[in-house]
Amino acid sequence: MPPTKRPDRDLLFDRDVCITCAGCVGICPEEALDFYGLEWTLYSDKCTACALCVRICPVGALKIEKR
Amino acid sequence: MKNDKYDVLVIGAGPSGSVAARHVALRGYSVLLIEKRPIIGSPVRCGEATGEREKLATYAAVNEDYIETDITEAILHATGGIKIRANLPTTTLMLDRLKFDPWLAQQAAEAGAEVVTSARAKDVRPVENGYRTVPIEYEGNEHLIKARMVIGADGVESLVGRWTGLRNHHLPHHVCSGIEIRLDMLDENPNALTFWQGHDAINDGYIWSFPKAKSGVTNFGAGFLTPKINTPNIYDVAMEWKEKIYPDANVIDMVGGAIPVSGVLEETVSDNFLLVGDAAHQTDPLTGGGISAGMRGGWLAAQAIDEAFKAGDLSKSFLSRYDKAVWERIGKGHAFQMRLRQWILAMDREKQIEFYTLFKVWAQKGQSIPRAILSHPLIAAKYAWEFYKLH
Repeated sequence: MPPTKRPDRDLLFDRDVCITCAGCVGICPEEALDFYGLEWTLYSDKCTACALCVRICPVGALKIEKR
Repeated sequence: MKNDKYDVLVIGAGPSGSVAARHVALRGYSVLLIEKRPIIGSPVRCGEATGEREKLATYAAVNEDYIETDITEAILHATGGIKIRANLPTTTLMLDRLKFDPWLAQQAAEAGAEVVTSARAKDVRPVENGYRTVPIEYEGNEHLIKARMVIGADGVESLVGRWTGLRNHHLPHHVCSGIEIRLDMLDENPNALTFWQGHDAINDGYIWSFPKAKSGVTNFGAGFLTPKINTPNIYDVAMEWKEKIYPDANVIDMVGGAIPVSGVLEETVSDNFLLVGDAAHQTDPLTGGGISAGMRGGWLAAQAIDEAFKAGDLSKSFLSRYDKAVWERIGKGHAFQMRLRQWILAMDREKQIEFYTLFKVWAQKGQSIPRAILSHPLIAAKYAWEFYKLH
C-alpha cells in the first residue's frame, strides 16, 4: 500500500487485476507513476491522490483509500 | 547498442516510431530505435482496425501475413434501435498487431536502423554541443547515448516529451479508457466493423466488434471518456454487453488501454526533439483510431528532420515546420472529428434518434455530403448552424 503526499490517503494497486496497459502513467499529471516491463512504480513523494489514475484504469486495479 | 553516438534516436517501436526510424534511416542517417518492452507489439493495446489499405505502402512494404481481414462495410447500431449499414469508400483493414509492429520494426532495421528491445530511456537531457544525451537502461546497465535528434514515440504513457518540457499528458475529458475482450468466434458479418453508439449503449464512447478472419477471433471492445470516480469501469460495462450480444462466445484474453482523443497537440517539438504518434496525440478524436495517423506522423517527422539536418538547424523554431505539417495533414481532419464528437455526444436521446435516422438515409444512399445536404436542406442547415456554433 504505497502512501501518497496526502497524509490521509493511500493508493492501492492490485497487481493481479492490472493488465499493464499503462494508461495511469499517461494521465498522471505529476509523473508519479511509471511502468517498466511489467513492473509498476509509484513515486509517493509526487502523488497527490487526485485519483485520475483510478478513473482511467479500465479494470479497476487502482483504488484510493483513507488511511 | 553498437555506438554511443547517433544522428537520430527513436524511443518506442510502435507503428509511428518504426515508420519514423525507417524513413530517417532511408535518408542515410544513423538511427537507433529502442523499445522498452521485451517483445515489439506485445502486449497489444489496440482494436487493430486501420483505414486505407492503399496508403500502407507509403510507410513500409506491405506483408499480407499481418492482414487479418479486408473490411468493406460498417454497421452501426445507434440510438432507438436504428441499424445503419454502409459500404466503406476505401478498404479498411483488420491487422494482427503481434505481426504488424515487429514487421515495421524489421523494415526500419532493413533500412539501416539499429533496433534494441528491453531498452528503456530514463531521461532526455538538455542539448549540449548539438547533442541530446539519453541515459538508457539495458541489461542492468545504464548506457549514455548521444543523439543529435531524439524522437519520442513512447505512446499513450509518454514521459519522454514531458522530460523536455512539452505538455503532452492527458486531460480526463480528452482521454478514453478502453478494454478489449477477445472472443473465440467470428461475427455473422465477417467483413464488417460493427459499432454500438448512443444513449442506449454507451453515449460518451462506443462498443465495437471487429472480426479477425484469419485467426477466427473477434475483437470485442468498449471505450468511453474517463468516467467519474465510483462508477462502473469499462471492463464491467464491456462484460455486460458481451453477455447481451455474444452470450455463447468464450473469452480468450483481455487487453486494454487509454486512448488520447484531444486532437493533435499544438506544440510537439523542442530543440533537437519531436514527438510522434499517441505521444503527440495523433489519434482520431471521434473513432480513437491512431495507427494510420501515427504512421503519417512518423513519416512527416522523417521529412522535417531531413530538412533540419540539411539546413544544419535542429532548433525548435526550425522544427516547428513539423507541427505545421502535422496540422495540415492530420490535425485539421481531427479537429473536424472532434467537433463532430462533441456535437453527437451533447445530443439528448430524441435528438440522437432524429440525427441517426437522417444519417441512415444518407449513408445508405451512398450520397456525398453536398448531395445529402441538398436532399434535406432545412435539417442540414439546422445541423450546420448547431455544428459551427459549438465553439
